[in-house]
Amino acid sequence: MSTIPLQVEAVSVRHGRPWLLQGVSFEVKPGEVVALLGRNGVGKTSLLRVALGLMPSAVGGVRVFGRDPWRQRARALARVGVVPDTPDAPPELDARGLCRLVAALHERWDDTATRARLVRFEVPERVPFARLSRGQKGAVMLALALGHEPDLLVLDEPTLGLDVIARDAYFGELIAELSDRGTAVVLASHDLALVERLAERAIVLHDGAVAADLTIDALKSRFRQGGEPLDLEAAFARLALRKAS
Amino acid sequence: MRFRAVAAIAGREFRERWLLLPTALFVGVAPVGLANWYLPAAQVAERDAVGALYIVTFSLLAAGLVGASLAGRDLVDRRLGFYLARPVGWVTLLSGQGVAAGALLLCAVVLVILPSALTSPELGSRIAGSPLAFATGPLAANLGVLALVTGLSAGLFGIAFRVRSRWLLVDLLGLAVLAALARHALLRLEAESSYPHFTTDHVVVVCATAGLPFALGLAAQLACGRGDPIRAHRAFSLTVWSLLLALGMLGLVVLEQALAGGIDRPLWQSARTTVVSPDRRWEWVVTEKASWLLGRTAFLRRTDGTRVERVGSNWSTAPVFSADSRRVAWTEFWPATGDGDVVVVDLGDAGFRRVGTLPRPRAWGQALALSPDGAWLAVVDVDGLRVHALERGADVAKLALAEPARQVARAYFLDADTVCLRALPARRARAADYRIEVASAVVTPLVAGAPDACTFAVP
Repeated sequence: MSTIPLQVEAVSVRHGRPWLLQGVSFEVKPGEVVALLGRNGVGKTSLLRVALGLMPSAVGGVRVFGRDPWRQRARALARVGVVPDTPDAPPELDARGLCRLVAALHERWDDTATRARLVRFEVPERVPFARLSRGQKGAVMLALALGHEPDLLVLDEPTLGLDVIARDAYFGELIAELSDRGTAVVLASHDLALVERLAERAIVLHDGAVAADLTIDALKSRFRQGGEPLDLEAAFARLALRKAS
Repeated sequence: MRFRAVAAIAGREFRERWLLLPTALFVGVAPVGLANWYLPAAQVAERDAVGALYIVTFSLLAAGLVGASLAGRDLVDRRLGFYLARPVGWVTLLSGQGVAAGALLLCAVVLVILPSALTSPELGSRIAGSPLAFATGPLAANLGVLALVTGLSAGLFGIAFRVRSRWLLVDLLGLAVLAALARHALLRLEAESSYPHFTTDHVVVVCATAGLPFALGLAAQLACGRGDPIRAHRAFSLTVWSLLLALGMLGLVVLEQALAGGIDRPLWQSARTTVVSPDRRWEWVVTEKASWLLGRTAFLRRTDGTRVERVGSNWSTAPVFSADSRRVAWTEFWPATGDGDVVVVDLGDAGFRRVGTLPRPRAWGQALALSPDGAWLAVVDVDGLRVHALERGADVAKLALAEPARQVARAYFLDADTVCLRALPARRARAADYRIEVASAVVTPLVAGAPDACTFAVP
């Protein structure tokens, strides 16, 4: 079995007649944190869906640890943790019930570590998921995604709607996870502060193709103002505007 | 497929819809309780019919709701939903949901049936043992199959509706055209029902056979999430409806050819019951083979083979002919509801016509008798005798037996005015025979086998 967490090879996706993505290729190596950037509707979530075996690519293919997620979804995703953009779990279950349910869906599960994470996030164990705050729901999603000690973590807009404190707790947990286990991460986000703190490499999608595949520092230093490199937000805006024009 | 994951998903899906179970129990209790509230105790049959109606309606409604809520938005929307964010294959996910739906429906059907079955032994025995009028096997088993088909259909249409598939309109149009074709075929069969080998059974079987691959194929395509649901729906709508409609048209052509060509197959070889009229011109035949949807089938046939009439698509008792062979009477009944009719048909040269129907006698073990000229019909049940003038459509006499009978073994007209009958009294093992003069309303108990004119051939 391949040790490369994610290989995207010339993936093209179409929604109806127009192509949404065309010939997108990249690779995520073990322990690497890659940010997937792009404007709304550029195809970030569609690319993640293809990577997670939820839809097929029209052309090209994806390999997750060497397996085709469309054909071997369960095996391909066995070492993958996913945090969706919208926290979604059975509303009547509390954190304990969710842990039990998710544990049954995975081959391996570290219940102690998951409970410890939930305690660190200050998530009440006995409150149904539906009655948790937005930040607590996001924390539960992250804890559940990390419970089986994944080697690849896919985060789709994980901090959407989180306040500053919840976001800091989120960062802390992620950074601890990355430093402890060297998990590879694919992060699709508009939260460039989060990206700048976590990611070492950025893949910028524009017009259905990869517009840039650079380290964060290279991306920032590519756009300078008064001889100084721009911050990531300004660099991304500059790149997007240039491509649009 | 991992069984632990299947069990976890099934348990979760079951728990999410647990409210269905107390609802089923309430609905199960309600028909008997409510019916007892507003129906007199004597109207047990009505109460049980209400109960059966509640049970069937609720079960199918529950199946539709459960089916429509399964397969869920995750599958349709392709979002990173709860299950789809885990290493769960499509087969595991659908198996878990399917197990939950099956268990939920099974529990709901049992809970809705149980109170009525326990409080009304007659309804209980019908549910457990009686076939539906249109399907063999116990009512409960048929209900299970119907619930399964309803749930599957609701799930499929739920997916198609969720993805806003315009091909739903094609489905509805195809369904309407197919229904129109089926209706036309049924009317033609009704009008030209001289060829019993081509009955409505075949139409139903053809539709069901064609519908099954349609449902399974659509289920596989839509629910398994392979490809775009709308494109899958389009492919199936186009292929299946064009195939079904072509088959339907072909079926109509074959039907017309059969009706016009006079193909007559030896159905009689498989006759289960045969009764011949006194003049040997007519033969009553009940086919051996139970049809899939319509139960056993009864025919009246001229023994020279020139005419065959399908007279009963449901369950029928053996008929009695009048001595002049001009009329024949039998009882048709619907076991699922306990309803039934006594049917009288005129076999005269003028034509084959139904003279009239009367409500079925109250309990089993009834006997029928036609007067020698076929003018009167005697209907005997455990309470007594009712003589009905068929031409006038009114009762001539109602006479009680000396003691209530638990079964009536046989009855016949001795002459135009006298009925003899043998009954098994409720409290004695020995049969009691009666001679009844209708005009004078005299009921005379006889000694069985007495050397008068009223001697019974059947002990």
